Amino acid sequence: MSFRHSLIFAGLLLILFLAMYTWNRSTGVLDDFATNIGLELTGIVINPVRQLQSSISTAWNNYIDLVHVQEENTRLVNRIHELEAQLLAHNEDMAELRRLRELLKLPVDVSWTPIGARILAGKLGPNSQLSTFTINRGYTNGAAPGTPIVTHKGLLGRVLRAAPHTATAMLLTDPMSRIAIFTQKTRTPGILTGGGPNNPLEALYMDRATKASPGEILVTSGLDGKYPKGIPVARIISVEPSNYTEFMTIYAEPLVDLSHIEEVLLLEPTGIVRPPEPADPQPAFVGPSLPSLLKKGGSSGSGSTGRAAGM
Amino acid sequence: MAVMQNILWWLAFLCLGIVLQLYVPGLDALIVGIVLVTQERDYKTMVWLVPMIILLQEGMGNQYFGASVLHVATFFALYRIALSLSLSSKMAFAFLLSLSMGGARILFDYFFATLQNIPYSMQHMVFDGLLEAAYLLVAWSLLTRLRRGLVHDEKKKES
Repeated sequence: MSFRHSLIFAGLLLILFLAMYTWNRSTGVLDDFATNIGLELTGIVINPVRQLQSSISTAWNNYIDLVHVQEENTRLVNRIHELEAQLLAHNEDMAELRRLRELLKLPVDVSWTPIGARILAGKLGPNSQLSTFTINRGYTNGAAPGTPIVTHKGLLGRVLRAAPHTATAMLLTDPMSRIAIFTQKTRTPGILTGGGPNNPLEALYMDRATKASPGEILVTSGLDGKYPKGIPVARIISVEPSNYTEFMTIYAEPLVDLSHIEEVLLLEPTGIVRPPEPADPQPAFVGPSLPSLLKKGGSSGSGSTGRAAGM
Repeated sequence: MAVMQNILWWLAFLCLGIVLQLYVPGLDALIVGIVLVTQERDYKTMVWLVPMIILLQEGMGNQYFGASVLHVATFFALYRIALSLSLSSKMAFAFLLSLSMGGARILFDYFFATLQNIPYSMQHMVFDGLLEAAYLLVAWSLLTRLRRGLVHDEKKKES
């Protein structure tokens, strides 16, 4: 084959490749195929390795290296995690209580179910330019694309791609991540975006009039429809007016320690719509009095309505 | 028996490659398999191994499908070019090809990050490219010797 023919052949292949790439980008067929096979097989290989690693690690920590002290420590660390989770939930309750004044406690949100999952791997392979991690659940057992992922400390990210029993999830620190948030105390809305590994998160479009201050917690607002409302996400580290925009420049750090996570919770949508807040009582009827015949019928009708309401 | 042993060898290679990628983030540990089957001219294995490696890498990654296809196609092109240079030393051939694959890796990472509008770090890309070149050089040499010792001797015995 001459040089000229080789060039033409290479050009044709490149055109074919770009056509395939464009077609796949609009349909996602090849992505789904590769995810269902490649990611699933990867999960099948990695799962036993992680379990073996975990078993060896647990055996070493619990039975060889200071048996009782280690067990005690594990129990206390778990207790601290539980208390931290309770404290964060309590803070969110208090903020909402202050804001609404009339409610005594948060209604139980029945629209999400937590499911436990184990992290299998971080960045995996040469085609992982986003900040992602792999978990041991797929779309058949609770990790459909878009499912929010949390820990006891707060939001971690969401599922990006899913095979039947393995999934890849994007961290909130990835620059492609966008989360609708507001500040816990001052309720200023904004969009939280990642800054990349080891860089702070940035809250965009925060009103200049906000009274947010460093140390305040950012929680999900639920306005994007992707995350449940009220999950703690990050802690503000700096607040200052932007020199270039009409908004505040707010940087924050994730509440979750991203380098030390092993288990996570997936929040699977249950399909149950969260009940609306109670409406105002019906206003009293103002007008001419009803004829006596109608009044009689009306009183018996209101009685059946009352029973129905009572049921 | 030799065919079965060959298949088992490649399955073990794929499993160990995935485990290696688990502990070395960003490394393409499987491309060396394509290098070996190309060098051995084992076209029967190549027919299933190349698509399998592409599917694995694309499946466990988080980009749109295509980067691994281009990477493998580039390897075949570079291999052909390197062969046409008629280098006298095998080591020089391996060194040239490994370095070219490392360079191609940097180029493709940049190309796909730009194409998909993904923020990137040039420092990480260069590191991944150099890691790829070094790994390919070492793994190629080690696996060639290992295969000569395990699989090829078995074939000789049977023949």
